[in-house]
Amino acid sequence: MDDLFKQTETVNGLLARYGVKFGIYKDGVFKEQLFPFDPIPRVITKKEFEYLERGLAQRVDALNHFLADVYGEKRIIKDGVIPEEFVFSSSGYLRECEGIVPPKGIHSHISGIDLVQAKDGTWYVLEDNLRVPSGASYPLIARDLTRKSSPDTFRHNHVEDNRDYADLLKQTMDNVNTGGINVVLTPGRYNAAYFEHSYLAEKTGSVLVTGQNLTVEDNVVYYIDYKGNKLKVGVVYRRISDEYMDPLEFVEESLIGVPHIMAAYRAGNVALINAPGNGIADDKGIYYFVPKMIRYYLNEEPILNNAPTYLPFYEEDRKFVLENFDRLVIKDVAEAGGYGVVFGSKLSPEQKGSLIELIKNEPRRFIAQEVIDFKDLDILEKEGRVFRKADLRAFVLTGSKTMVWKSGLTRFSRNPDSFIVNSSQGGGFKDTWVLSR
Amino acid sequence: MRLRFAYTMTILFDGPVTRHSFSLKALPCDTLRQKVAESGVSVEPRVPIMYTRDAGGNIVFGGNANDEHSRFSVTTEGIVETLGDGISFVPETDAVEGDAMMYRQPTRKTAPGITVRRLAGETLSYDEGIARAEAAMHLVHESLQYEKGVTGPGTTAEDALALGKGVCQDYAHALVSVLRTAGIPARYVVGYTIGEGESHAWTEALVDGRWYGLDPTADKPVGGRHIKVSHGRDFDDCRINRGVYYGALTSEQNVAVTVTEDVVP
Repeated sequence: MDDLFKQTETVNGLLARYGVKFGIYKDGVFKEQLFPFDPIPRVITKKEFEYLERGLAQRVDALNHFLADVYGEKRIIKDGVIPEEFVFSSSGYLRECEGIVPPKGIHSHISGIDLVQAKDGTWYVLEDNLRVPSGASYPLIARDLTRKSSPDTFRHNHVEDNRDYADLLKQTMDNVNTGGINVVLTPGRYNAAYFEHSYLAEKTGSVLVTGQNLTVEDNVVYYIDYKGNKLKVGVVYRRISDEYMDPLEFVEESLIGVPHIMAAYRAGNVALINAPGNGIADDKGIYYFVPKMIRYYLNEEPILNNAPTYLPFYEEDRKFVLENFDRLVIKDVAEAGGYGVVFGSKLSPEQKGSLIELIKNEPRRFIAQEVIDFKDLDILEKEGRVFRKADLRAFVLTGSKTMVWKSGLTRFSRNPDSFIVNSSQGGGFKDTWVLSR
Repeated sequence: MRLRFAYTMTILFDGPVTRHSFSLKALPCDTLRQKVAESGVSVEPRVPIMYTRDAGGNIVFGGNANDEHSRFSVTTEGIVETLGDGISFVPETDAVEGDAMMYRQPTRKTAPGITVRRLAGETLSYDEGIARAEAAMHLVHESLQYEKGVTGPGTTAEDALALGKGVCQDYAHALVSVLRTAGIPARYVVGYTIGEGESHAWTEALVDGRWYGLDPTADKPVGGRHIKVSHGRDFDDCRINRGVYYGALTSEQNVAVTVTEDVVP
């Protein structure tokens, strides 16, 4: 392992050379940043990962059931398990998707489930990402580079090879392909995850396209190649968000989308990965109900825990939240990427007063969670090994069956006082090793 | 009645445009109250037309005018046979599974405020049914004065009622909002009517498993003079035309709607 540490500079140098970056908008300016790689991997034992695998597959299966139900029969609402206010008032609910049954009935093909481990070893799911979860390419390419720069490390440690991600992704795409080519739809190079889009397209043998390369005729999607040939498209792994997908149904100003693609999708002529409308299932308010979904749809007890969560929407919970404000973390359900997350204890009296007022007026907008005592991971800084907060994004792919990738993106906060590990907030990443024995 | 309708939308661009994709909800559909005897679509420049249905079941058609053009027009026309005398309520359609749940939810444009809540409260003494819906229609009609140019496409039901002025869109939103607040599922409707010159908007209320049309601008039940085109939670679900194109910065758009009684010779 020491050999691997010596290669940190080499690996980070190679990552920079290969363009492994992510972009962020700060003060209205687009900047590409390197996503710093830390050489000390997160190690998960075989047994522990088998537990995570069962729990993650169960969770994603229930979420897929929920998505099919909520855009179909709505049994879970009629049966009173989830209040209708939580569905229809969510910005993630897209009425445009009402009644659509996607190819093979799958809504969330690629799910990024964010977990943290507490000091006592318990894993908690913090967030489900079922829209356009990104980040799989970072551990993938980092593994590739570390294997090259330090082959001995992998001779001495029995680590599951994570280079099968592209195969899992291709299987997932092929499974729902309606007849035609596979494409990866990117908004273009000024997107935070452009590197990943091109990398995954190449690794899955898909064509990397922008909206301008696609056209819809008679409710069928075609790719126009550089010679002007028209090829039917069977599956679009789209890396643009729902609201920019089709300017004729969503945001009209969108220049990155494909006009009429929703009509083609509604007609069953193309698969979209992930299905539009998934935002209803990874809504921070709906998160509270995921364990209930598992019981409701699968008739099983949830294997993985949610972080203890309170919904101010319910009077009893609201009272609890106001009484225990200082030890809770409050999240605005409308915000993502680590924005809109505040710790009750870190607010000034004025800020606290106005947030409490807001919670009383718009209880549906917030959730409150217990602060989890994270098990810190060691990272290598110039001064040596230091401990930092970290999470794990596990990738779950739903093809003909639900598969959990034996790796994942471990993100850490470089700031010793921060609990927020999102890459857009300046963190770094680690490889995630799942031991094979 | 037997009505002949024509909807024409023309866009004049200040220069050539290309890759112009468009999508319209401008064709009437069959309901219990109306039967489409004839209908057709023509687009200039001539391009293939594709059809789909939106989540509400409305007819949507569209296409791509990729070649350079600086004028664009779409016409829908046809003949619709309609029922109703404008005095008694006529069912428009049977409700489908899920309608009641979907159409009692507020949307941004129809979220109730003080004025909507007050009006909804005034209808509660009426029977929960068509009587209450009718009372709400009269209240909305009395609360608004028809005036063009004071409200816009983004005006909410509450804002229009607080202002006390508006056009058919505002009347329709206001009634949708008052009905939902009074416990009656309601939806926004776009259509054509005799003598309007442009598209019209009204409201439908769900009573005893059926949707009934109410025209709060005219303060009358929807009847023989109305041709229904689409329905939705509010204006945004029923936008008649949408389009994207590359090229010219400005354009002038004109819409003309004619509805006349078709006299069989």
